[in-house]
Amino acid sequence: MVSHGDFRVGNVVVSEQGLVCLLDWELAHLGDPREDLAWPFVRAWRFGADERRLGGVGDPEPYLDRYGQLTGREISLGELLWWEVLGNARWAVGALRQSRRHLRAEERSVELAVLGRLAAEVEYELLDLIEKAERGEA
Amino acid sequence: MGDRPTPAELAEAVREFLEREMLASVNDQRLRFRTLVAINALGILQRELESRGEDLGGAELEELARRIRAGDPPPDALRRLKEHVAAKLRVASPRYLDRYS
Repeated sequence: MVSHGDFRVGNVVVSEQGLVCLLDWELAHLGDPREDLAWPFVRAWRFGADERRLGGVGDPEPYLDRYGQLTGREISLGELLWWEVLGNARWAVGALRQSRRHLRAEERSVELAVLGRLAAEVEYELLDLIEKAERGEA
Repeated sequence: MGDRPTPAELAEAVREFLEREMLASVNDQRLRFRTLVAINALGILQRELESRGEDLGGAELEELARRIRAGDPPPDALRRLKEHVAAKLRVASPRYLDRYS
């Protein structure tokens, strides 16, 4: 299946009539559709609206129900947890890479530098998700 | 060197200068954002200089990583790692932890 690779609220354009388009296809690849489905759950995309797990704007259940109606594919929240963990790991690696661009003097920038320390936020989220999974809560 | 201001106090002095004197005169949005990032970075530096190093040391982390990779993590691995990362966050982003309480 074709995965978009960066499927999140910031890449969805909507008008009052509904969906207009999806932006930023440069990360598209062949892969598992659950990768795209879980990506907007990654906490960084909630921008502080933590209780709305779907990109800070919604809940996962209606989203997965609608996905099921449109595709005939029943995907449970439980099976997306692994992909949410993976998404967070990808995000953390991205932050460390940005910081490395500064450290290697490819682009000196205090913004990039600080990301190396803020990766600890994603580390904590990863551990929290894994802990919830072990307790059977997620 | 034991002279005052200490390294942490110097970091704090620069942070306060940026925050209280520079920021008000920075009108360009992009530059303003970077100034805020710089203020944040000095806060990290200050907290790290004042911290008592509660995070795990390199050798301990290596041993944990080795056992996790070998599929034989110690029973308290998750708890120790969470405490380790929480200690890092008390330096790098203290308010972030409030989101989990």
